[in-house]
Amino acid sequence: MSNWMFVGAAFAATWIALLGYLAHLQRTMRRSRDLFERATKAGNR
Amino acid sequence: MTTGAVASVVPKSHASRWPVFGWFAFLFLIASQITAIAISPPDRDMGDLQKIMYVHVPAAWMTMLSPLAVLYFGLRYLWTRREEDDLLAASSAEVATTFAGLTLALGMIWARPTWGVWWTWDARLTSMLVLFLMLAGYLALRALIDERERRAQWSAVVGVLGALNVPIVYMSVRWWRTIHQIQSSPETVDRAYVVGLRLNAFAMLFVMIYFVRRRYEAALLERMAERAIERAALGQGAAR
Repeated sequence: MSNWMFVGAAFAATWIALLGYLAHLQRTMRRSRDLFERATKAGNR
Repeated sequence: MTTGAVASVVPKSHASRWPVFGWFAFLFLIASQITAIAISPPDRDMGDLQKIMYVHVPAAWMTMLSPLAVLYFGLRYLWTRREEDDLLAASSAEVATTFAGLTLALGMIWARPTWGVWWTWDARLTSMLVLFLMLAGYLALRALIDERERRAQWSAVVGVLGALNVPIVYMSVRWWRTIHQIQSSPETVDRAYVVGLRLNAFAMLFVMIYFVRRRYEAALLERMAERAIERAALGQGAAR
């Protein structure tokens, strides 16, 4: 494997990790928002 | 923690500043990586493999920085018992685990062509692996304990213990004979690489701050939802 293959793999791994965590954050945020809205609606009933 | 706290923290920040800051952080990271690759000449010994430094070293710095946030908020929780501090510590720990995993993966990718092996039980690599496992243990502990106060107390203690490993990771390359080079910093790398390293370090720092903040917002909302559910259940119980 050439040096550039390893460089490319390193940068790709970085973006996979960061964007993967970002996707996890968006999912968690959406779930928390849904839960919060459901809970406040139930509390108001 | 009150509903007012959420109203003042979450919706306002969600509506304006933090998503903008997130875009800024990621765009700054892209610009920093392109700049670093474009302006840095190949290293005399490593050639173009040197460019891995621009992702590996900032990721390693964030791995050592974020457990210090876990330490700070953990100690603050033990002192004040404010739930927000516990949530901030937990958010920092999750982000720290991500960066620790990334640092280990990048180290392995860099080690293969330079040392000829993917992994060796070197003091720096081993202490970093221990830090990663401690952070993963912290998250596992939080998932296992249901009772809120006990979870916060125990995880604060584990977070403090985990952060004690950070100076060991940092100094491991000086305290033991290791295959890993000494700490990379603007003082120890060639001047041709300093600007790229600084830019990428700041970019990664901004991304880390954004991650911790957003994770904290999500945790805060989840906690408020739990409170609302508890209140609703108590209200129903009293009505019967």
